Amino acid sequence: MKGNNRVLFFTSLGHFINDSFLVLFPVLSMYYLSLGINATAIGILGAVYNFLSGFLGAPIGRISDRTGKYAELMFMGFLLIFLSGIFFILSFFNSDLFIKYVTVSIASLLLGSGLAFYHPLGGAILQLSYDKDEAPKALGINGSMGSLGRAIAPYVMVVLFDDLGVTKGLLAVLIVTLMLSFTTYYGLKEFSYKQEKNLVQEGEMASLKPYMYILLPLTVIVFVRSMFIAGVQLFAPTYLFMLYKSHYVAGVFLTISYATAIIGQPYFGKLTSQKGGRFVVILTTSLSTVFYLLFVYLKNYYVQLLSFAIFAFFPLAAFQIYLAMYPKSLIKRFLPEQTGSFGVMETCLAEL
Amino acid sequence: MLGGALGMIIGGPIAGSFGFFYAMLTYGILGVVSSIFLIFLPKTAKT
Repeated sequence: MKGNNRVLFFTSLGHFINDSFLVLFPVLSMYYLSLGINATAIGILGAVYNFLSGFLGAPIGRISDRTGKYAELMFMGFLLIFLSGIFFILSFFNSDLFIKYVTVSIASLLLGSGLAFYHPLGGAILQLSYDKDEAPKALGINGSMGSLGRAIAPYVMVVLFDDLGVTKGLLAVLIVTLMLSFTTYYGLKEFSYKQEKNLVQEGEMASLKPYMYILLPLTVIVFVRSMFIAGVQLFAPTYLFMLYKSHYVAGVFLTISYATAIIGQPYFGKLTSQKGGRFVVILTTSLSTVFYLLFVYLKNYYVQLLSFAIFAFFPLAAFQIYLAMYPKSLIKRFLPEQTGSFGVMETCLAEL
Repeated sequence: MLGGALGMIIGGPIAGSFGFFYAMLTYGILGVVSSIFLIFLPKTAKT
């Protein structure tokens, strides 16, 4: 395999593995309620892994830029995810509720930490391997593999968990994950890059003042919207399970819905370049809310499936839309072209 | 990430106290709130 194609193949495989685990905790939540773990604890533990996966991304990006050990760090992330899975399995073995809480908490911490590794590393490897013109296409292919992982995982997980039992099903998922992680590591280990310096310098936050007229409303919208979307992603499987009394139905809902995001991402990217960021932000934010409310209110299987799929079609495609709203001078100044560190733009867009 | 974490935290107690329907409804209200803020978006971005 040629150098760049090889990098694209193995980083995409890594993205597939990583994003498959984004749905693990929401799927397991359906099973945890029946084990006596309450909804408040599920919300807090979900918040812990969500926060860690975002918060640790920037320091991991900086370490990778300094050391050039992208493949090693990526593998470390997968190992943490694997370990989190082991703790999730242990939580199903013990009947003591306190032990369950302890093991699920450790698992959430490990999952959040593990999920923080891939995105800064995969993006940086691709941007360092491809030239400026080819990088967006490579990132697009890589991104769709992540979406594919997120779409397939809920269905595969609920089928395995229901057929084999949660512990054996999750163990099967983990064994495959470990094999794919080794494959990704061996595929990428000969690629090592070192960054001379981070393009985003400290102290540049102060010069954001001229952009506050757009940063402020966008940040508020992104913040509130991310509360909305993250909460739905965590609790939707359990809500669907309560409604239809079937893990399988919940898995099908999630798989179909996340699959719409695979189409939505390139579609809204194209629409943004044709109609502009503001139009698409208004369209996606308002319509996703309308279809979500239809999903909540209309309790018919097919109507709910359709409305949830359309809802998922919008928000998961949001990153490039919001980015298009920012003034070009701001993006040029603060969005690193060749670094795993995200800087200021991450602060504004981290929720996405 | 703070928004996402906060969103996950608020749903739990609502689901625990009133049921999952109301937790999901709360997220719908957050969606409406984010849509209301759209009116504050400037029409054109200065370059």
